[in-house]
Amino acid sequence: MKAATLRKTVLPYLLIAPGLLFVAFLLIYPLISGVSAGFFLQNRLGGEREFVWLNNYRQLLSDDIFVLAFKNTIIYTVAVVVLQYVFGLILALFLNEEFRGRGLFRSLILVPWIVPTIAGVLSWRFILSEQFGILNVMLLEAGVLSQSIDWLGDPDVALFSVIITAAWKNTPFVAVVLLAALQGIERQMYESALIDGAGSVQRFAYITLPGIKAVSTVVLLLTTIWTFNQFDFIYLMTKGGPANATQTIPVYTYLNAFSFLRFNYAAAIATVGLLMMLIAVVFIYRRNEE
Amino acid sequence: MIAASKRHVLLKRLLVYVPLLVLTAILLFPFFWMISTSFKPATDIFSKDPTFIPRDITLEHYRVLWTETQFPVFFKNSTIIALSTTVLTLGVGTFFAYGLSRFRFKGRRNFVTLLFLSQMFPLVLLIIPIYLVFIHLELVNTHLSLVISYCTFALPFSTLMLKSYFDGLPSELEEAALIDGCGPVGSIFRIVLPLSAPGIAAVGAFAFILSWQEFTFALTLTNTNEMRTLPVGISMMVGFREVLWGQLMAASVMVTLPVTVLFVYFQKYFVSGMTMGSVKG
Repeated sequence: MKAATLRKTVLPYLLIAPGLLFVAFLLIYPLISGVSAGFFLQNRLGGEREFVWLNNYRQLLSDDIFVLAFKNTIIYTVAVVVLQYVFGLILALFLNEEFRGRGLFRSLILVPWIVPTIAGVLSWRFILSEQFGILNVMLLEAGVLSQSIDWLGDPDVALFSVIITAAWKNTPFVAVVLLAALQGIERQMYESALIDGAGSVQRFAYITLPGIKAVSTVVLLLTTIWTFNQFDFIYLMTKGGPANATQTIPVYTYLNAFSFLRFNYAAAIATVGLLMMLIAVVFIYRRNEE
Repeated sequence: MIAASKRHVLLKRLLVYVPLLVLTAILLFPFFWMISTSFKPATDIFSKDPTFIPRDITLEHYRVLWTETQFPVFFKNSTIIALSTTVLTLGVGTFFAYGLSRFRFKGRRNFVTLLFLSQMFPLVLLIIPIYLVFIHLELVNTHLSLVISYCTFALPFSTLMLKSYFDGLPSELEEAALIDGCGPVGSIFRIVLPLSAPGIAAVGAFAFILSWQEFTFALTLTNTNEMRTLPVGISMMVGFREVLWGQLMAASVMVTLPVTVLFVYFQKYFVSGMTMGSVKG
């Protein structure tokens, strides 16, 4: 009997121990160690660490590229999150209608989301390339453009191009989640609103939007976090260039750490990013709580 | 009257179909263009008037990719790493999730919240200390370092997905097994695991897809062609002067293929998995 009780009390801990170890060593430790690295200076890997208090942060203020990355990150995150939400909602509303082939469309729109980032990025880079890109060919033929545009090489349009393509990647996720929320709204509510003489705009504003509000908050929180932290997509698209036109906090952090080998400075940049994101998350959460 | 209402229905149908077709076409175009280009001869790819469907179909880009480049090495590395990650994630995650689902202990609630929050940590911040640790352990440029890293990042989501799966299984099943003389460990292996096989398989597919296409860790933790995975290897095949788009598109098709197969097979689980998290949240 005693052995059985012992097994019963020890078993849960045995079950979760390996998972706990992974999480502690590769999520908690790096987070604490990463944030604290921002307050130190180290000349070479494994050398003496010197506590420099806020020096790295003071340097950030006079770093023009950091200021640009800060600004770009805000523009990028807001634009991508809004585009994804608007187009995701439009798709979800269409797919919520009853029509033939709905299941097929619902599967097809998921394609951008499942195509690996590297494949999506390379396809876009080919489509957007200045010389042989199909986008320029089509726009020139249609007479929209008089000369081809270097979509990813021109500092004036590069950020715009990256925003559109990044929104393309995750719109399906938003669409599918919002569709599930739309299907949770009771049909009866629409029917009784129709009897009461509510128009389609009123039905959308008073039934649809409130019906998906809770899910929308979660979707906006998730997409904000993901977009804000997104590194691989922008890095593969432009490496933050041309002339830092698409430089963002995650890309600038990475370049500092692994190209310029300034680990402590990189840690400080990422910590500022973490704080910015926390503020954004609290803001979205609060707004939607009301 | 009947004709008018029929016309009305037709108009309504068109109002749904046309915009939906346009949006879907835009969403699918890069995927379509990638496949089309991978089968086009170089003269067609770099022609001044490109066609949507290849004029002549060639397998040349695929042949060159598999026989004259490092692509097979990248493919082998990705396969080894993704399969190992899947096995390890399932091994650790299943018991982790079962423990969190069935037993009440101190800090359980906080722990589940922490798993949620960990999705928020910026990867570029975490990767700096992780890189330094792997240097210390002399594990940089090994498969093992990538497998460990991927497990950590597949684990929170896998655990949450599996936990909700176990939450849905009535615990009376295990109680009945206990009465029949089956120990707690035996009941996990004989009752719980066989019953949740489809859910576990779907989580495994998720872990595979995640590690198959991961870029950031692979970029940081590998530094020779012999160790590179597909996403990093392919990204380094992009030339500076002359870009071989045919070959790159063929490589993109090859990376996408296994993911698509898994996705089509497990679609039902993935879609319910990704909506579940947000809708319940």
